[in-house]
Amino acid sequence: MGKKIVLTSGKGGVGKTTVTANLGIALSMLSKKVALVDGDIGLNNLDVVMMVENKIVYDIGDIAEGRCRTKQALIQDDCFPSLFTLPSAKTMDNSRIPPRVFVSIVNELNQDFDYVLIDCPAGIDEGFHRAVAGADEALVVTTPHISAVRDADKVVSLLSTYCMKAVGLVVNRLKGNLVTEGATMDAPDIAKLLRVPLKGAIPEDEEINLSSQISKCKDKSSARLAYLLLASYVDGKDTKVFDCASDYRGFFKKLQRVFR
Amino acid sequence: MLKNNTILRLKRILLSDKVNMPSGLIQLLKKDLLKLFDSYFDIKEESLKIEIDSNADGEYDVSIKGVSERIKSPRFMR
Ligand SMILES: Nc1ncnc2c1ncn2[C@@H]1O[C@H](COP(=O)(O)OP(=O)(O)OP(=O)(O)O)[C@@H](O)[C@H]1O
Ligand SMILES: [Mg+2]
Repeated sequence: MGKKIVLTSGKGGVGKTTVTANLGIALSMLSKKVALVDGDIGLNNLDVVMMVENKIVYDIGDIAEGRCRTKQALIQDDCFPSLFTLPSAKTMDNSRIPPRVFVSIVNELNQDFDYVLIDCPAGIDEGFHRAVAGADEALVVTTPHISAVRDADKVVSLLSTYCMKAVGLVVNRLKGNLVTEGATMDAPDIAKLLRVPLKGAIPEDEEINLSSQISKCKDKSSARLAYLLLASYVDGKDTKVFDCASDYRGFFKKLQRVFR
Repeated sequence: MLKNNTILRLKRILLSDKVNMPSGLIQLLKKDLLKLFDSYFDIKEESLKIEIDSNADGEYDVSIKGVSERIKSPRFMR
């Protein structure tokens, strides 16, 4: 039995799908067996971020309607053999996968995997309910923008009506230079406002924006390090959170910049 | 610092979101307070006013006001 974690945000476009994919990659780098479930029925793109869109034979809709077994729809990753993606139904109307069916598919996966990560759709309606109902832990994803934090707060309130074992926060797209200048909030500021434990801080990163995956980033990239820290936090190995301002702080870093 | 203004602004926004929610913070608090006050006062439900605001330090100012025609004798005074 593994952990079933939903990644949710309220606001759209803050990075739920990117964080789901890369947390999955980072956990499989730690030798965990991970299934990524696209809970965004109809507006799916987890398959694209995972670069498996050409390998889809069956999707979650086919499982729901009995055309295939759950295992047949799972797509194994090219680089990480312990990482699998369950694509969502492209053309299917949202209401054809009721929460009950979704939950039973997630529970089935949970038997075989260390982690089942569920990519939740934006908003707080039907799709949110379905994705959250399948999980026993939640990671709320936000960016440092006021409107994203506001929506995250609503989601945190909503989550308190579900029986979650744990709710954690991931702040995405932090700009280290602006944090150092005190121009934007840092991840701990946001965690304090939302009263949710901070489990991850991910820097704004051009490579992530271009290739979507940390495995395609340079070995020393800070996004890669940030995701590895998030993964060990989630896995209960560590409680360190990446410091997005670290590159911009301190005497030696300044010297390095001067002499570069 | 710019960020401190942002934090203050957000606190206000998050507070007003909670207060204005259907059956939000104030409604719940009111229900509980009426229960509590009932052992001490005959309080008129419609007279009970609760206000929550955030001050310049980002703390919350909570004020509660009500009108009662009669004080009940609390248990220890009997
Ligand atoms: N740390 C980052 N640095 C730079 N770009 C990022 C970062 N994280 C995410 N992005 C970019 O932000 C965009 C939105 O990300 P993503 O699709 O993961 O958001 P989402 O919350 O899943 O959106 P939706 O609500 O539409 O499902 C993408 O173009 C992605 O590449
Ligand atoms: Mg998405």
